[in-house]
Amino acid sequence: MLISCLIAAAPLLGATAADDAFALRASHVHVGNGQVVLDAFVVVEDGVVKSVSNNAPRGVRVVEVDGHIAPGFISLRETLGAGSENAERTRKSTPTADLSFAFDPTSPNWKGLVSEGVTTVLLPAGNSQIAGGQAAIVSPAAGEVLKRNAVVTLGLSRAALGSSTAPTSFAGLYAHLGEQFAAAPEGSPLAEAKAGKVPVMMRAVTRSEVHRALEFAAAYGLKGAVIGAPEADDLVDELKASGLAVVFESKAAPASSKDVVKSALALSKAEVPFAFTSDAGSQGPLGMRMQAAACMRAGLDAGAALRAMTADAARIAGVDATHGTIATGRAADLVVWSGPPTDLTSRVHSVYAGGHLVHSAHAHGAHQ
Amino acid sequence: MRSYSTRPDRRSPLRRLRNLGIALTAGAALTAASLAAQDDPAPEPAPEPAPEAVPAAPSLLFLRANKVIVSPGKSLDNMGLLVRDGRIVAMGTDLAAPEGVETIEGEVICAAFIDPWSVAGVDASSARTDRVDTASRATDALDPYGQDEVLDDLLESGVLMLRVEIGSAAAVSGVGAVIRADGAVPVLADAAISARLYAPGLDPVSRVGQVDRLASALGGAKKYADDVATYESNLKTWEEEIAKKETELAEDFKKAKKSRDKKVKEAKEEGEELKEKKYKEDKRPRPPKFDAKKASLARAVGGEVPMVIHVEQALELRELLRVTRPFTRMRLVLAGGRSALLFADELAERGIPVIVTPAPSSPGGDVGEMDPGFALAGELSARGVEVLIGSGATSASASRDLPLLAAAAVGHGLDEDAAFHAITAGPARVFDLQSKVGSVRRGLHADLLVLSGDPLSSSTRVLASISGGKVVHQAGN
Amino acid sequence: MFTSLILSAAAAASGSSVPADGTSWTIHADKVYTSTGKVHESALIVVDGGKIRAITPGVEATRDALKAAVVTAGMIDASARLNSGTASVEQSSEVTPLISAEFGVDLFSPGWGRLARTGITSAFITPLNQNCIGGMGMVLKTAGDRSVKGRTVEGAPMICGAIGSQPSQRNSSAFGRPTSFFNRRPTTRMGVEWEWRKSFFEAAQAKEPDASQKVLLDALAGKVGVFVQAWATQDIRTAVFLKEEMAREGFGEMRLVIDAGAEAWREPAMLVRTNTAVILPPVPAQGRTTDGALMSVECARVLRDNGISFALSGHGGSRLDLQAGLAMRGGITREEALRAVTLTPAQLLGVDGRVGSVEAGKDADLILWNGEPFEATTRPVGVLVGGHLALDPR
Repeated sequence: MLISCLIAAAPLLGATAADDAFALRASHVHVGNGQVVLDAFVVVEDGVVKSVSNNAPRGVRVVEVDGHIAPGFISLRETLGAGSENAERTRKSTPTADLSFAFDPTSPNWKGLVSEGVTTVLLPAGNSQIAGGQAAIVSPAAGEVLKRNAVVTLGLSRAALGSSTAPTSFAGLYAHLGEQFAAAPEGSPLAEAKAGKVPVMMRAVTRSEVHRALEFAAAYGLKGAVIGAPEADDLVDELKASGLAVVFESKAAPASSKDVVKSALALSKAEVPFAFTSDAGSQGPLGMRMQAAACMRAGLDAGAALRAMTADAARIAGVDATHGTIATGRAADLVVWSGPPTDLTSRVHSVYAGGHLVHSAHAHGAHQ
Repeated sequence: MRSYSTRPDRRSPLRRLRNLGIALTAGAALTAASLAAQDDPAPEPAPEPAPEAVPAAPSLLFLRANKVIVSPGKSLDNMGLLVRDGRIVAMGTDLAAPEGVETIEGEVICAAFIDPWSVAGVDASSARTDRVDTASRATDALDPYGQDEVLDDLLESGVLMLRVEIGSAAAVSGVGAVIRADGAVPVLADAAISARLYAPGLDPVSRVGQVDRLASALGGAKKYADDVATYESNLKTWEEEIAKKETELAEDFKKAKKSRDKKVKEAKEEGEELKEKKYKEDKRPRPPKFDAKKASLARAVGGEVPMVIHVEQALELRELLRVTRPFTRMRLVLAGGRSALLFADELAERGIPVIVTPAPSSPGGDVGEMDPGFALAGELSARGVEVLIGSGATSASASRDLPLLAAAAVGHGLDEDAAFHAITAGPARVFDLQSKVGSVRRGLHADLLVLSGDPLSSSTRVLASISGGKVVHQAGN
Repeated sequence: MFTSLILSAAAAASGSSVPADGTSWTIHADKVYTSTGKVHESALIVVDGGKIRAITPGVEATRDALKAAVVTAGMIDASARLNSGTASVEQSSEVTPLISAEFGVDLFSPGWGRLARTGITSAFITPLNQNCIGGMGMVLKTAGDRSVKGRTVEGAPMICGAIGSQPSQRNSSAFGRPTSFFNRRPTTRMGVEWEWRKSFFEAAQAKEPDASQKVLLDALAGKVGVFVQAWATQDIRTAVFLKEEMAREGFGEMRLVIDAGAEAWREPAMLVRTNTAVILPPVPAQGRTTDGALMSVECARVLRDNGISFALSGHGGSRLDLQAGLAMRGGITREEALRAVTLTPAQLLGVDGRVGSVEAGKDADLILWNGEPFEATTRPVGVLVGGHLALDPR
């Protein structure tokens, strides 16, 4: 009820009312999977990409943009707009909790995020929860919940251990989680995760935590990703064998930043998919782009960096059928950049979410 | 004295007094040694390139690139550079690599990045402490071994020089230094004096009080400097007088001796002591009590070293600009400056550079609505203020991302050449190193980067970092 | 005899020990102390597939053999305490027999490498001793596989706990309403013993014992060993009297091992009559250990004189060989010291089928010394764990 009220309210950032078809023409269209189409037209109709081609469309308003078009970035964790609403601290396990209720579309923090090109965000549970609930995929620009109960979040790091609440040990944590999985009725989130129908996101930071998480995932046949894992480069073989992806956090803590760069390179080489988060690092909404740029300066290929922020992130979140690439039938979440999307020197010209123009930077010399 | 060899020795009175202070505590030998330090003349012009004739010595290095960015906005195509003994000795399009000399090639060569606001290479607790004063020196807190991982990261990302400061929690902290990231070796041991007028959460009266305290400290230092200068001139006068009297005495010695002997005899006849006449010249002028803190701060007041003040909020900045106006010789540099836009005209007019750390704006944060976030650098630069970009001196490893910060600033409105200036020539000029580093010219030190593309582009890789002529990083090693 | 002649001929003839997969070696030592009492002179040890295949005394070194002055079995630290601290003990309850130490181990910690390089090839890991009964311990190799399962050496199951001041440290009585589960008993030594006795009594009297109680029943019956930390005499007494009381009540005969029995030397008689083994902690620098227990280097000798089974431990510090040297200074012989760090802990932990001595068929956990072991001037120059080189002597 509450969510539908929020959705009914006008989208946050002054969308254009018209849903008519239009086309964008740009010198470079980055599809998101590594492909770049030159001098292309992207035709949008009813909020969905109708076609990407070199041929001029007929009977459609064409907007010439001077720059590159790329899919909107997907951040696999962003809790700025959730405050502390994503951690139900009275209980360590609330596996059926629906985290879309933690989404506050009116939070002023979303504006900054959208203006940096992030159109889709995953809202998971807090790190202090063992089975915190099911994460939702939201579009902060449109103020909408795109997919409820998208990903089951599990906290398997030291943050999930209590100091004066049970469990206080990893043994206790895994015993507790095992009981939850065993007792999960048919159709419940944990049961669906066990059946491989819903992806999981397991938070684990140190190498031994990640190792344990991978063993747990193997024992229960879980699919999805590990979030955290800054030293993933030490566990490449195990990660490859597990079929899980890695989502890197953009923490302000110094040490982890370096390891993430090394880990991203190692995973890229081993063809293990990875993605980034924009989660409240010291660079705020720019955190994801700076993380990707740091990896690129260390040798990560630009196409791989873009994939990590778009197509691979969508696949990890289980929404790759509708988001993450610019292709026929996918949502029209597009960002127009002044240069390559992965380059920090590029500026955002405009952002489209679901076909609506949700952000537009002023022309040169923007002043507030 | 500013301890690097090519700086002309200005022999300011304060310098003299400091040396005197050392002598008082450590003996004449030290004074003699420090006073006797010689300065190099201006760097000699490089010889004409004759690559075939130069023997292949280990200190030679040859670089070649399709584009050499000589200085921000100016680049030359298809150039070769010859580096010998740490300096660029030749540059030219027709330069060929001498026989047997190590050669590095790339797409672009440019000056290495300089982080003007950093704590990398400094022991972490010294960087954060508040127990320092204006005479503390950052060179005492350098920690090349404890920080070696951080410094290695810097070599890989191309930030080869840093201005470091200690005592970020103190109101006025010590003398910062410019160091090489390679081994945390000081290049300029006394680069700047830093102060901090940033205390979020304090009430406005206390905030203005901070500025007042700084102003009185500056005033006290200036008075001290004036007292010392007065003493110096009085001493000089006194010495001249003494010398004059001595020459007079030397000339009329016999006459004077005869007259004095007569007076002594007369006094003895009368049974009295002869009262010697006291001359003013007998009273040697006494120096003011040596105060290391004031002496150090006086160097900033006198403009000998720049003074970097971390200020974010408008109230402090307004007061600071007001109280520093009388100190006309002072070279002020702002750090942070999130509300500097309000005073952009005055900053531009007074030539005060601002070290910006691009960071997201926090509406409702301690700077409030005036925080333009990442667009700060661009907006300041557009109003004519010289902008430098630094990593913010909060975390040692943040310096690694300096080129990314500059790129982010470009992505939010800063002109690309201004961004490059902000991390190369700008810091060099503001901290008196422009004759050594910051641009690619013959005669300057070889602090260079060989890149695979434009220096700020995110897809560029640093192929090689050369610090003082030494190859400290090479990709693929 | 004849077989060994043939083996020695074969070994001498082949001469090659180039390892194909890194687990096949030939080692020549001037002396091999097997820990069983036998000493081989000028022996060649053939290691293959991670196991000791053959030991041939009285032969010359082959060309490619790893050479050492002395070879012994890898040391076993019977109380290594390399766990992840408070994350290894489930403190929501004071008696948690089912918690396994396997989840409280960080195999990526650099401490493991240090242990391996200084000759400790197996370590007994328990949960942190903050609970009365903390859980099940396990023996892990100090190098090798990256998963706990791959490093486990299956041995006698042991429940681990503590008697003394440690389990009561975090608990306190509540001021008014209890605010955390630490507002509980025990807050004193009496309480700690009460918890132990209570859990055994309830397990013995339960009509349908649950999983935890089944483990406690096995402990009472002696099928699962009881590994109790008890530093001071009063705590060792408590543990021994508890065992005797359980036997008197007819619940069974426990197999008791006292861990960190620093003051076991004071009243050896009770240990002798109950057949209790003792793991000695590292000798304290100033004479007193935790809980004020008085311990000197002579502790080992007193236990030996009384015929009590004892092993030495390093508590995760990497100088178990120095502890053995100190015990020798206290009066035991080198053979006895070697046993105390190899065969005896293996027997106490039930892993002597695989490790603990240099015999054919056992795991290739070997230390190559540059002199007589446990001398202050001697150190391990080569270490093999399961046939892999943890410390390369070349």
